[in-house]
Amino acid sequence: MCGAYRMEMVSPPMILLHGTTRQRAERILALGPDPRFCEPGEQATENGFSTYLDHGPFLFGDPDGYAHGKAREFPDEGGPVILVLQVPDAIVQNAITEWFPLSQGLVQFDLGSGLEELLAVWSQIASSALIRSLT
Amino acid sequence: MIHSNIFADRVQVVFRPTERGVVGLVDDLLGLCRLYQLRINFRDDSCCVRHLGADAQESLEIPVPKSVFRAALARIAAICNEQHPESVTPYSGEGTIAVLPPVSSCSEKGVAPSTCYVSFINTPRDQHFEMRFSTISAGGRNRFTVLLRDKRTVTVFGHALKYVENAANTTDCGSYGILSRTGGGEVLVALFRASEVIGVFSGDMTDPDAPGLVGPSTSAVTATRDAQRQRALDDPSQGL
Repeated sequence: MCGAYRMEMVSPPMILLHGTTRQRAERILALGPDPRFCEPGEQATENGFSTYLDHGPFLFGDPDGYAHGKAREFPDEGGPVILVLQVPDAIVQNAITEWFPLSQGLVQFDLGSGLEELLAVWSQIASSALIRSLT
Repeated sequence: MIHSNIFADRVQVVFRPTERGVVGLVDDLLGLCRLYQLRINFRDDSCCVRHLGADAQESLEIPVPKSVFRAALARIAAICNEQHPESVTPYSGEGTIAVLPPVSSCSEKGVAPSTCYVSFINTPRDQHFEMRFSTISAGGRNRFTVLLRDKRTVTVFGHALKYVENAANTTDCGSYGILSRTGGGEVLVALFRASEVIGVFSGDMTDPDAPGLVGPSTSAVTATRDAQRQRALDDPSQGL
């Protein structure tokens, strides 16, 4: 399966944004998105991995807002950043469902809806990813 | 119960996926605000949808992926902030949302946008959403809840309640009418035979269990309603 995805990497990647704190962005880059990630004091729950198309639309709030919100709530995590990912179109297609058409601008990776495929090529995605600081 | 079946049907239609995705789900939920006040919790891979004022056992369980419900709450937050900048965070908040009338009624003269009061929490651990019709959205009209002897409940928007005597038949108990102002006059928008009515309440019946809402406990509301229903049944001459 991974071979098939590697072949798809030749198609133009999509730029996806994830607003978070620096500490979390570095952890995601190193280990890949953890759908059971839990915030301090929380119990682990399945929450998937939410990203936005870089050109929008931002119908669910924009990534900057999420980054600032998380940084305000967790001030010891290095401040707000945007994780900028280049994800092959074939991987993104796996996250498109009847609830999450691409036209909404939100690319939601859930277990069973694209997350496994994303994790399978994560090392390649991480190598081209950027962490953009927000001031 | 007829009322409950209609409610269940409407809610299930709203939660049916469409090509409009989560955005459409939220639009349709807000549209329901014209008809019902709802409290929605997420638990164990399903939404628990409860009509405020109804008994807890009348709530509906609708299977929905958690990410869909969280995205719907995020959309609610985004709409709040579009209409009232920085009024809520993506994680929690409360405010009002102006909702345009359904396309089918846009051509009808005098159909004003609704205003929904919404409150929500959207954290990894806890997700819930509540929406209530705001009385100001009815263009100054009141919400009248009519309890009928056959246990149906009818909601009518209008400006005033009026007793309408049946002058032609003195043995008839008459009727209760809801009046609405239009173009300098008043029209009857609903008429209920007094003999079929238990009571008419003006305003919303809020969910007393919900945080932030003021009101008697659920059992008190139920007891009050039951007592009023019983008094009315015992005494046919009892009015409003």
